[in-house]
Amino acid sequence: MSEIVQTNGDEVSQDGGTLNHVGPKAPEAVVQPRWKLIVVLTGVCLVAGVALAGGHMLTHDRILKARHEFKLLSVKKVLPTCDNDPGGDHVEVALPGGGTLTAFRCRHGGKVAAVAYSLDSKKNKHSPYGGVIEVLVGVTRKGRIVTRKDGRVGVLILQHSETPGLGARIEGKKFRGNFMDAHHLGRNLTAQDMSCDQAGHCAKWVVRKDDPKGFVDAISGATISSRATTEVVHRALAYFNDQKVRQALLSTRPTASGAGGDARSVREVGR
Amino acid sequence: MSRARDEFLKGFWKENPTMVLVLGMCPTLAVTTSAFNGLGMGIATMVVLVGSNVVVSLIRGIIPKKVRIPAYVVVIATFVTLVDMSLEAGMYNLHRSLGLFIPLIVVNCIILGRAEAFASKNSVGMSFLDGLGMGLGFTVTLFVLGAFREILGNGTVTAFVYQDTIVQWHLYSGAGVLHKTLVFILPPGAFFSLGIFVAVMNVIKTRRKRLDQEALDKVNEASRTAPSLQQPA
Amino acid sequence: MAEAHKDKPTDNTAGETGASAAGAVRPGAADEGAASSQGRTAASQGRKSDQGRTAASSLSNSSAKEPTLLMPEKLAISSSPHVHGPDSIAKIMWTVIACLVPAAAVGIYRFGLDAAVVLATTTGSAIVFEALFQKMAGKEVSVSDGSATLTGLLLGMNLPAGTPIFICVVGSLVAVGLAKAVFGGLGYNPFNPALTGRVFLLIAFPVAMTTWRLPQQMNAHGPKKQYYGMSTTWRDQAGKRLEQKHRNVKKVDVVTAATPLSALKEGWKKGTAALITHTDLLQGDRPGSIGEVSAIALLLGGLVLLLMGYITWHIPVAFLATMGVVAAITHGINPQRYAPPLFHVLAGGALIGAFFMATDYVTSPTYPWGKILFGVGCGLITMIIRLWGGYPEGVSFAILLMNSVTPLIDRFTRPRKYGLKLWSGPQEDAS
Repeated sequence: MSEIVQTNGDEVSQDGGTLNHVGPKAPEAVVQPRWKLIVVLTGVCLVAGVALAGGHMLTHDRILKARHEFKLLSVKKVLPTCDNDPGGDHVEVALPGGGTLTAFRCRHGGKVAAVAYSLDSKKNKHSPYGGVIEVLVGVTRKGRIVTRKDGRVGVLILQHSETPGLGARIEGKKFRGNFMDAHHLGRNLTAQDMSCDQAGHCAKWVVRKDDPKGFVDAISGATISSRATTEVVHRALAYFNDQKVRQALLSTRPTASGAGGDARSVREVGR
Repeated sequence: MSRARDEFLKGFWKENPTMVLVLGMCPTLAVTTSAFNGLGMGIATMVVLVGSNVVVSLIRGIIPKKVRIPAYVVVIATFVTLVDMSLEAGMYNLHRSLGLFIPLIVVNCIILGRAEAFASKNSVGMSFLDGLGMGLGFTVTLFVLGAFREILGNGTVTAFVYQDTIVQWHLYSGAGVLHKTLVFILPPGAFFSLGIFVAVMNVIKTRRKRLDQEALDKVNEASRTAPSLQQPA
Repeated sequence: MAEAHKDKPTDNTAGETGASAAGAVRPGAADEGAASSQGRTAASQGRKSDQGRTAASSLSNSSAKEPTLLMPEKLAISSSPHVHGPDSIAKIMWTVIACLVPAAAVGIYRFGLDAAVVLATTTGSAIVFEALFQKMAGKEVSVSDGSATLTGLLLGMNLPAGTPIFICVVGSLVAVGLAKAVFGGLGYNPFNPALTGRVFLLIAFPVAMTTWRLPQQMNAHGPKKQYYGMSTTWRDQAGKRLEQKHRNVKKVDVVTAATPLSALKEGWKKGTAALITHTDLLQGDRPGSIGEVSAIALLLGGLVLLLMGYITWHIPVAFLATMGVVAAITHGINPQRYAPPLFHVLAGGALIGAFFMATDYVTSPTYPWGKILFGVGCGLITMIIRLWGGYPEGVSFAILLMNSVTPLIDRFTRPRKYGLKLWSGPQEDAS
């Protein structure tokens, strides 16, 4: 294997058992012409580029589809059974405080029965323990959190950076169950427990630890995470309570950016 | 043939990349929060390792020494990007949970280390076996480490996750006598677990060496006494 | 005494002979407290100062050539060799344990049987693990010196009453095994073992470690209810939480509450300053770890240690004074948000930390200025965590963090030798 002429340094070629002990100052060390370095490296990069382009072409569509499916999976989890494909039926709504909200709509016979949209904790008063909590909520046209027939609640944590096993339990069914049937004003408890005041506050949107009237049972040891999540869900419902936003959310006009909703627009929503 | 076997097997124990060479600590410590994450990371790394080893071995004759590191890095980065893309297309869940650490395989010392120390000096076949053995050794280690941390920290072993299909065993609930030692799935737990693993491995190695030495001594003793017995005869 | 040093580096015994042969080091020469003539300090000092020389040989050599260099009566501190004082490891350890007993007794009085179970479990398992690890390492089992007992007791005193037994045992395992045995046993551990165990548990079992019981004597429905955020949960006999509706079925009441410091973290509410009195803090009538609740008992024990000369004033005073100063400044700027200094010093684990854990011979600096620096660092970090950190209490983190810089502090506060230039730097004394 004599083609290993590059071993001009202190390297020892193990190949073929020929051991060339060439000192670093050996006069016969082969000096590569500069053009060869350029040509070889360019060649390697070219081949790599071609390989990457091929890989991209092969996987691009599937990646978009996977992202779309992932988003759809989440959206479907917070919405009841629909007549349409909620992933392909979405609407952009301008918010009173600036910015827009993208909502996926679930229709029953043309009428919008429920919408799903996500909100994060960036504008929260109570910030989470770490990072940002993003919550996807499903809201019925009456302004309540969706309760599905299979007992699932229409609240899903899309992303968070809370401590595993502790704050991360906001993802759990038990904590999210707090928001079952929740309304912007509070949550309807059973008839005998109901004690709404004149303003219609049945129970307060705070964790019970902060106020005995609050209806959210904080995760023990993770009050901060519970508080932040509660606030995000409350803010999401408060948007729905806004007259203008609600009308826009429940309008029956088809998706603005082309019918059917292509994968691209879904991906933009999901970021 | 025995050399081929050695090159393949060394990655599992003798030159185990994480436990003995202590390379690739970033993925080892960061993603082994569950058995499945460890497995996924290990396999992704193995694919890159085998690919880069083979290609580096193939082009070892035409790469000038001065530019070999950039050339290897380009080769490795290409494979990593390919793995990244196919993982996102095929296993979106795993891709999400491994996140940033897939692109970081590029700077995993195991891969550049094998390219520089082995593939650039050995034939394609041997490099393939070396990559496969090292990669499998890495995968097994990460899987075991992930399972260890997951069992202690979360009381579960997650074997497989794809979309809504989750294969997971719950070993204990944490409500009884045994409690979940949460620290093991947090970053400090990664160091503790790795330390425990390396320590146990060292104990086994030392014991084995001592036993070997004792056996050798016995043989020596026997060969020394044997002639003396024979001499009178 | 001598039997306590048997597994120490040899420079102790070598030092003893060297010293008596040269006759240069008086018994009282090492008078930064009786402490430095004790085996433990000597051992840790020997470990710290073994950079490039064996103290015994070089000293006896130089004293043979130039005896005057070692003679000055004013030379208060010297590195090893040391003449042994009358104290042994066992004597010191058991004295410290005795000084901890009042605080532990108050803890048991306040929290009842649960507290006693926790203390017994941690202490017992620490002794068992110590013996086990010494056996495994092929060393002589020396649990009678009380060091494992002290570690276990301190660990237990830093846990809330009612900590599950499994968690207590894991804590002892970490404290004795991970923090001490793997580094080579007593005298070699860089971090305080009990605190290492406690912090491990805090991160590993955050829920159990922050579920504080209410003292038996405290009224769960009294005026302080609001302040401590008390909540009564009903559990069945298996320990499962019951809904309020089912709470009459074979239930066990558990009243949990926030500690004064976590109440502070949740928000210093108006009027609460009047509710939580300093008398409560002094007597220990408040939720908290078993050993930290009664300030009086801790002060008593600390004072005895000080008077007996087993600890010096430097670390506790610097620690608590720094906390007080930081608290005074912040309270002065915004009394609505920050608690007054005395509250900070008395609440939480500051006292037990300052007197019993920061002063651990092995993990704290040797020289007076180093001790003061160490104490100031502990106080600062504690207050930073308490005021702006994620945890309500920071004493254990502070002490562990300062433990990690102890070798550095020792290096830079080593007293200069007679005749050498001021600030000549640590490398000079290698001559």
